[in-house]
Amino acid sequence: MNKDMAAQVRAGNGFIAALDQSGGSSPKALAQYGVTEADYGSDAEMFDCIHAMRTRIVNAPAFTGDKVVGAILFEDTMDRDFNGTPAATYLWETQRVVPFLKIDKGLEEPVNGVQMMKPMPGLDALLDRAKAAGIFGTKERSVIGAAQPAGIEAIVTQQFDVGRQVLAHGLMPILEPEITISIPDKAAAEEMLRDAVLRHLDTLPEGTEIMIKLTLPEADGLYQPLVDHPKIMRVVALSGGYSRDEATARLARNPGVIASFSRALTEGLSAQQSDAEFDAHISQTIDVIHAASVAG
Amino acid sequence: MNERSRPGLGTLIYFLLTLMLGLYFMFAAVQGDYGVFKRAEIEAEGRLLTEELATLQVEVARMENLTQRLSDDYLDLDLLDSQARDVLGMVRTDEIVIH
Repeated sequence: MNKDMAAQVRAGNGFIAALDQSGGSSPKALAQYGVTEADYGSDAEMFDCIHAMRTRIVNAPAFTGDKVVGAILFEDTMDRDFNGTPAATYLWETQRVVPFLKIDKGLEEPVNGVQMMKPMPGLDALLDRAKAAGIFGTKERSVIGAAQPAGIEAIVTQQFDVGRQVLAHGLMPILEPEITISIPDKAAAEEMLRDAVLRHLDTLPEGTEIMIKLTLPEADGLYQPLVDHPKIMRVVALSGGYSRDEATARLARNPGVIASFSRALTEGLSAQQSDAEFDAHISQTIDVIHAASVAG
Repeated sequence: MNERSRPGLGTLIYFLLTLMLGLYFMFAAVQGDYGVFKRAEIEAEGRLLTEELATLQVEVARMENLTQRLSDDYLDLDLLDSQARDVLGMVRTDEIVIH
């Protein structure tokens, strides 16, 4: 595991961004950026439009390791280049942003109040490719929709199993058991989740480290035992639907936790903006989220 | 003499009427549209509807959350990815779908 990347993540002076117009081919994501279906004739052209936008984001002066600790890439992006350099390599060597890879393939139907991750066939091969491409870690998401002990235990068990598989390839797993923010028993679910994670951490060998991504809790400081745990490199928070103000306010009340908003950085960005406008806007977005992260 | 015997009949009729009215009101108080049974029935229905309301409110809150996270001013990539898979049936080019 890359020591410098680990040090940057551990220092956590910033936030972890999502750097992909997910679904790669999602017209919705592209339309939000101001590129309508009239602007491209085929899927291939659409991919190019999306990738042009990603490149523009990555090249923004503000998008550097000073404020953006890491970026979670989708597989499509990992396989592409930025300015002629493989995406992950460019991110780290040029922008000093630690590259992560999203590895989950969607969610199962709800059972016991939770949605487990779908099987990930070929995960070992993907992890090998990621390691070769200079990826530092991975992210895997499942969803908790109710405070049910059996369901939460099953989610945490699956998360740790996949986490071990990732660790075996020398990569840093981000475990993301997201709790839906709109459920009435959210606080209870959060306590169950924290206790289950603490139990499973004891099963990891000494000296092993993982990362964990959690919904911002109802009780401030609820996850402090995880922040302070020797086997957790960094606890990152997901907003899960909270508005930016609500999310940043909650973040500030949870010391040691940094933001990892899977919200695209393209809020308010558009293809029609000049480079100066584009860079200024993305810089402002980054500043707001960075300030919240370091305030925490 | 007559005066005294007629009052006996009147009294009897009075008490009969009173008894019947009493019985009627007692019956109405228990079985009637505004009676105890009806009240219990309505209270039970009220509880059911309250539970149903709570369930619907949770569902509405969940859907509002999902809608907001897929709106134009808040695009949650994780959610977009899983919705693209679940709702649109999309998969990545190198993925194999196992049914």
